Amino acid sequence: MSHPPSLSLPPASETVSATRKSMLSYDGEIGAIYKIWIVNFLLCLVTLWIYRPWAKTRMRRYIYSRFMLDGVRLQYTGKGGELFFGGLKVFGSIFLLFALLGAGEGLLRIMMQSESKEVPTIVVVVSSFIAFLSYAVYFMLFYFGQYASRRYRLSRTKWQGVRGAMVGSAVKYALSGMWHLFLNIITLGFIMPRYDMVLRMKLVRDIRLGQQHCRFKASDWEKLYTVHIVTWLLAIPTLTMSRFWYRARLNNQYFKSMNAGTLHFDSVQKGGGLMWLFMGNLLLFFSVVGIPFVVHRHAKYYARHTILYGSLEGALLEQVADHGGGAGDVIGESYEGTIDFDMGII
Amino acid sequence: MASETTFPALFLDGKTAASHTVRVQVQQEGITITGHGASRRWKIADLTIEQSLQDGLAGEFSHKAHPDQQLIVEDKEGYRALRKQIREVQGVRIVWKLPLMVVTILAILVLSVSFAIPYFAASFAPHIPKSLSAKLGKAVFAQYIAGKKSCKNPAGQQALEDMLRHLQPASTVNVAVIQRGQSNAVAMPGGYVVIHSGLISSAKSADEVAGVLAHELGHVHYHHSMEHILRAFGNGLVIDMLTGGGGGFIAAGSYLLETSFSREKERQADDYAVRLLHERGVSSAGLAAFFSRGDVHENKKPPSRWVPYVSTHPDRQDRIKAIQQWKAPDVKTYAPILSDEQWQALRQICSKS
Repeated sequence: MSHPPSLSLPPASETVSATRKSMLSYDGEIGAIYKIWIVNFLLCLVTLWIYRPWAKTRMRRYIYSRFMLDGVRLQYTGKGGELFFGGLKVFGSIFLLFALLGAGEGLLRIMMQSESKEVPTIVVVVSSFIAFLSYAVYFMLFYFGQYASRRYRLSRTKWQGVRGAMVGSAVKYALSGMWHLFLNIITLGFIMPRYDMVLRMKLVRDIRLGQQHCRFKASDWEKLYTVHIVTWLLAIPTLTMSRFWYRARLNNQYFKSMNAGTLHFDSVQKGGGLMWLFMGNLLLFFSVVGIPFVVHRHAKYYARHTILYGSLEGALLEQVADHGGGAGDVIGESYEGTIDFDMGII
Repeated sequence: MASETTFPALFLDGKTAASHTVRVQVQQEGITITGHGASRRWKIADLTIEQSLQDGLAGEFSHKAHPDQQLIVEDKEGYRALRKQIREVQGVRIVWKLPLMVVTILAILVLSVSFAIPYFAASFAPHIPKSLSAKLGKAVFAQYIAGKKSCKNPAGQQALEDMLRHLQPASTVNVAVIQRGQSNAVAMPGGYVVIHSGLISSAKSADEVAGVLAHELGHVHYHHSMEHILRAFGNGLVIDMLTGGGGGFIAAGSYLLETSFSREKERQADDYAVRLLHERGVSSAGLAAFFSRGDVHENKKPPSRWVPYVSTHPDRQDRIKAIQQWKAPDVKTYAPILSDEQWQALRQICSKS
């Protein structure tokens, strides 16, 4: 065990010389993950799943600590209690909202279906509006959650005591997400590369690592269209397996396009590897006892295929102000984090 | 504390990404952190344990007023000494926080599921507008019979209609028979009742079928299906709110709670059935005989002490006893509900005309 900081860490002022060798590594052990998972599983059982937020946190703390950036371990500082109470507030409100919308819409629909009476136009209009509103709220929450969960995880991830942050607006991101989804739908998925890249760009540009702004400069991303169209056409005969090649190219493009000052990112994912990771994880996940392997494989894959290079200097080494990531941000936790690992960047 | 403990640690100042090797001295009221050319003192009362020394992770301590400043402790003895001191000074409320929360939540859950939700479900169910429950019932009915053969032999349907009219002359209940081997009948919201053909073939007389039909009419009368739906919805809502989205385990727990609810309602429906049969001059012996043969679908399970709890109906012997021991308020002469000819027609309801 050697958490976090290696004792021979260079002082803050000293910079790490630029090199293409990845500064990111992972040394998690399946035995340790299994132990945490079993304890978590048993505690979840006896507490009727109430322990789940604490279990999630415990696993994240271990997995994050096994990732090293430039030889120094990451720290996850999230707490089970904040996930739990945040969840209580957020999901309670959401359920109530959907219950009310659903009940209102259901009642109006039944009135509309009544054969004996003439349905007033206002009822049709209001009912349709409520139905539309329900879908809009659902999609809004999905994108809001994507942003908020990243904000939560980044604000609780530290390297040498310096944390990450997201400084933008989750609402703006959600609106942009819905707009691009709309465009994607009306073009029958043709603009998917644009949809994927624009949304990722919007996330990345709001990220701060220490005081350092993250930048996203997409070049050559139009090339994604070729692989998108080819894999889209092959999706049916290959039972959608072809899409792993698109996903791998997209991920590579995503990492290549971003940097945080002197820290650069790259990615060497391949369609076959991603497919093998996903299909294997799917089988392991459904076996239940294989879930710890899913966590381990996922972490290992991303550590191996994501390259961080350059140097850690300047603003990257200065603490960022606390930009939230509070209780409301757990909203995204329901959409993601099934495998308890996702750092908000990779 | 008998002696002061000193151990090595790493200090993160929270302002820059720099760690400093320091020595920590644990005293009665505070700790002294010495290193990187400076010395600072933190009161024990101001310390927070951020991370326990477990799962291969180092222990982490921070100062309540400066949460970004951290002390990383890998030294086991040192970690234990500091933790012990914090617990002595601050108490052990951290240890009790989670179990206390779990107990509170479970109490809310149990109270909601056992009392509040059943109360509201039972109160609201009779007041749901008929048009709404009829629409809902129609949808549930359509889903239930989807893909199954409906039995529509005209003579058989007429016999069934006669049976229903005999029991409830002004009934608005829709009764249908579907071809399924299980000996079962189901009541749905809005007055829909489905009888499986297996129930008719296993019955020895029309009075037995009438007994089961009267039982289902009891469910309809008391709005049990609507109550069940409202209750299931309420339970799901409460459980999801408390757990942030549950799983199959919770669903199973909810089902067990649901069935205990049903047992009570089944007794109510039995009681309604014997009264109705008596009022309409039909013997409830048919209902008792039907149960005593054990043909009812749910009673085909192997006998076990769990059966009364996992079955959606009360224990068979209890039901038979209750039906047989029911005291009629007046004396009546019972007659078979259907003629032999009608009974034979009902038995042939699934055959082509």
